[in-house]
Amino acid sequence: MTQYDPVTPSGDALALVTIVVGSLLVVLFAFTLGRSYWLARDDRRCAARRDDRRSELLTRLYGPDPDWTSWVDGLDAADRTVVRSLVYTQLRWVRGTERERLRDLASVLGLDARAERLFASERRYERLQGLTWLALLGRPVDAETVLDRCRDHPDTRAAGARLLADTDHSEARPVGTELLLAPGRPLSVLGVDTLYQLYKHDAAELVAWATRERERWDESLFIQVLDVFGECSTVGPGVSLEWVLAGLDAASPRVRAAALEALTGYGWRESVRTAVVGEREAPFSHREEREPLVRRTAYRLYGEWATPDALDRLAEAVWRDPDDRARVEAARALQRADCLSTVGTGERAPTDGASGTDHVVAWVDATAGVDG
Amino acid sequence: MIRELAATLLESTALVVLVYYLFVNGSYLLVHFAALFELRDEMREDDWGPLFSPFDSPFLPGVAIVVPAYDEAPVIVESVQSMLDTNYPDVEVVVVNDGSTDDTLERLVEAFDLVAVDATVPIDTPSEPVHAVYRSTDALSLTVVDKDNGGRADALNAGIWLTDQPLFCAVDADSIIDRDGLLAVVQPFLNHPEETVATGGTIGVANGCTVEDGQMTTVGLPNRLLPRLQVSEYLRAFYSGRLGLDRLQGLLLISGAFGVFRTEVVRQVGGYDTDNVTEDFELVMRLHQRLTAWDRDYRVEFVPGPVVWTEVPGDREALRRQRTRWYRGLLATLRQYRPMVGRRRYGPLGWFVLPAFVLAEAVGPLVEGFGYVVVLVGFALGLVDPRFTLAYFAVTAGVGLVLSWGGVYSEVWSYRRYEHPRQVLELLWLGVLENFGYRQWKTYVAWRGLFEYLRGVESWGEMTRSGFDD
Repeated sequence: MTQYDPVTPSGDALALVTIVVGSLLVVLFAFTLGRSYWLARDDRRCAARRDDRRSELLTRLYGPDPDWTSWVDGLDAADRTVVRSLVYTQLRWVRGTERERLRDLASVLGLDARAERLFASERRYERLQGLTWLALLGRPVDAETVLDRCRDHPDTRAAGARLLADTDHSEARPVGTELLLAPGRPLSVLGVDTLYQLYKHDAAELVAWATRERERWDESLFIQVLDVFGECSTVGPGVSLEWVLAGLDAASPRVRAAALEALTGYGWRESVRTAVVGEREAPFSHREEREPLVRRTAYRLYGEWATPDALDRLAEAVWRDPDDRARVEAARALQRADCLSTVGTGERAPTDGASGTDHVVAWVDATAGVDG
Repeated sequence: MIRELAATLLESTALVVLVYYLFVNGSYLLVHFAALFELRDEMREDDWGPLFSPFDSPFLPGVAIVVPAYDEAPVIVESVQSMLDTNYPDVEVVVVNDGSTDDTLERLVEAFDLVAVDATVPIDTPSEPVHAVYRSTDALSLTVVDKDNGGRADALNAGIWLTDQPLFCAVDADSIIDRDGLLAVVQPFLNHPEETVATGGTIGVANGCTVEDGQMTTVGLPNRLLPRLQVSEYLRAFYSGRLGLDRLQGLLLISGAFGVFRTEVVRQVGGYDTDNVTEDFELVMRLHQRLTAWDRDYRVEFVPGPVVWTEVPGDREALRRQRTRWYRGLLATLRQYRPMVGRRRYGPLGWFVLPAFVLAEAVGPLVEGFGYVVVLVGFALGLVDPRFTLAYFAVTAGVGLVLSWGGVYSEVWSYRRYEHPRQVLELLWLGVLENFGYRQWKTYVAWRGLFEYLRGVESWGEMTRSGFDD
């Protein structure tokens, strides 16, 4: 009878693996528990300090004379760390004189110098931290420096432009726009909002920029600029909107929708109304426009314009658009124009056997108070 | 003759298992190592922002929190209140009562003064029929949809089709979101608004925590062993594991309990699959498949900061039902999307994450369970050296422990939801404990899930809610 030894692959290899895994476990255990203990102890100490320092800070902030220098001189290193984090939090909420006082405190704590150092760093995250601090402290910066140090990444480009915008820098628009609208990846919401902050009261320069640069942008960036333009105050009749109107014939439905959205506030310009309607028999109705997204945007635009023609198109959409959501959008647009009750009556009644959509009107009517 | 055959079989099995073991644990270690880098970047990201107040921006996207609710009476009011209290300016809470047999709807009507909208819903939803939509004059952002029972996916589809918000957040009714959690989980949509299609937050275990007025006030560990073991498991798999997969650009799953999606994109791909019992996993796989086919630049991201606290099964039978369902869903989804496995077209997701996932998550528990049986047979036939077996078990358990403790370390290093060292010590101990019984039991559950899958079982399984006060 053959004898079989028990299966025992290399015991040495197993012993080695055991030692490696065991060592790893010892290190992980010590690191995890040690860190937890150390941080918990830190928390306990900081909590008491934090309450005391916050109270002192607020008393001085709202008092007659904060005298930060003597206060800071009396703080130890741990207290200063606590106060720095308090300043960081408070600067986001406080406005007016108190904000200026906090900035003085930041200066006494050396935070402005630290922000400058961080901004000069090669590391992206440190530069971003520096930009955040500089914006909070309202520190003036040289536009060329911002341009040099922020070009490399979309996050730093947006943050650099934001810093210029927040500090009301004289070069904020040209340099900020150059940073934001450089061809490349689409903008973050910080970037989009910064572009809006730069042009919200007067978008004429943005229009000039868009007219010049439009061809260099990809679809996403073009849509984002259209979104910003749509949120800005309307520009005067002398400013050409050709770059927006060109978007109405774009192959991409998202661009068409964004162009329509951007023109919502321009119903008063006959040239715009003519361009939107053009030679079309049924502009942006389901007969001409396949994409419900575009039709829904067009219906919102018609509701805002509220011209007799636009209202007729909406009434027809409520009856005939094959898309549920588009029909509801058309009814809501009519409701906002106080014309919902006219659907299906008089000249706005369907002339042939259109399927009844009374429930769309009933729904929009019933939810009007809540949905707005 | 039998001994000879058994010995040959054992030797070849040992070799196959060894190679398999090296690959799977190597993959796990790589994922958890990558998680540390991802966490480092997330913490750095948290350090510098925000440079503006997104709440003041007209470009902050609105979010619909869609809450499917089936027999959730004990928790529904507190849960909805927590969602209404979310710190986000443009939020709509859409609760879909999925044909509950208890008084879920009545409790909502009473608590929020709901009134049925006196009109037929004009939008055709890909779901079981909707009976009524309720609105509240007190809580203007609350909508309650009452429909026939069709399951979680069906309820989510009704909610998704009835909202106008550009983003929706799928949340379970037995869940509590951190007050600032929604803004945090939406953050990738703010960083990459053109590309991000889905994000998921961290899932925390609510058992043992204190909830007051719909908000988590104290984070604690559950009193009972089974939920406690799940805390350690969630930290490893749903925290550290997902951070690592995110880093490797291969996030496969966003938990149904807390995920934000671009509404229009989910509608375009057809919504949730009502025939799949792990509809959250299936949806993310379908997004990867379709968006790649459409040649779209897209992102699916995990955000470690925000937490949704959810009640986990407290007894073995409920947990068994949940886990067999997860396993059946995993097999069904992987089978459905098997053409994606190993394909370079899908990037790291296709050539690394999916193959590793198949081997580790689908095959792994089966191999492990098979291994236990083989070792027992080997013992019975005197073919296995007990000392070697013990050492082998110690190494496998040790590697598992490295992953578990890595999850705990990631937590301590970052957001410290379990802030007391005593809690951390307990979590470390739970990592050890799960190797004695719990881990083996899970392999049994996987085998049972496999048999149920082969038999075509499609049941969801009930989860008895005890409410947050328990």
